[in-house]
Amino acid sequence: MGLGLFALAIGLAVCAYGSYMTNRGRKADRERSHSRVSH
Amino acid sequence: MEIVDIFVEYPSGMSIADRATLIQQLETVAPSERLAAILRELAASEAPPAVTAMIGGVSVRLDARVDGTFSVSRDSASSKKSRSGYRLFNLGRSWSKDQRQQFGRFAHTLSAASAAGAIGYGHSITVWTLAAVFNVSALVVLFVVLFLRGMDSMNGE
Repeated sequence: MGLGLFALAIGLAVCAYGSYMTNRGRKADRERSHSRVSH
Repeated sequence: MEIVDIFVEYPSGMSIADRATLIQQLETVAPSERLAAILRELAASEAPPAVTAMIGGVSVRLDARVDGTFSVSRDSASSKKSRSGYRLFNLGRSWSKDQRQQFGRFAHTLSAASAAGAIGYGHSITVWTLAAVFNVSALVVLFVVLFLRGMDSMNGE
């Protein structure tokens, strides 16, 4: 049980962080290419 | 003074990237005479462009001034200031396309490790207890989730 919980915790944390940063990167790229929208 | 990247985008789709001088005291960006001449030339045939500059890693909108320089937009400046407090919770700068590709590969590596782990773990079990089933299931779920996450992160953009 411990192995599964540990693997899930690490794996899902990596996934969540990766999704968040990937989406932020794409959003930044979109805003850069359509510079009419600025931060 | 600081050297910043400046981007000029016209509605027709034409974009110009150059570098300019940021005069912080005046909140003014002075483009090169070459860029100013190009902008004057294009003003005859193009609609007004959108001008932005990368200042401190943030894209800031610039407003054209009559003397050919640009002033930092008031809206952009205020949003930039408000972001400084937010930086405490910032989890890093947004990823570039290459970084997203690398993350996709990393996720696929973890996915493959999960698959190998699930297969090895399954074969090493002689008695299938609830805990063993849960462990194998967790590894299989991770295999699938990490694979899909990796594919999404390297979607060939």
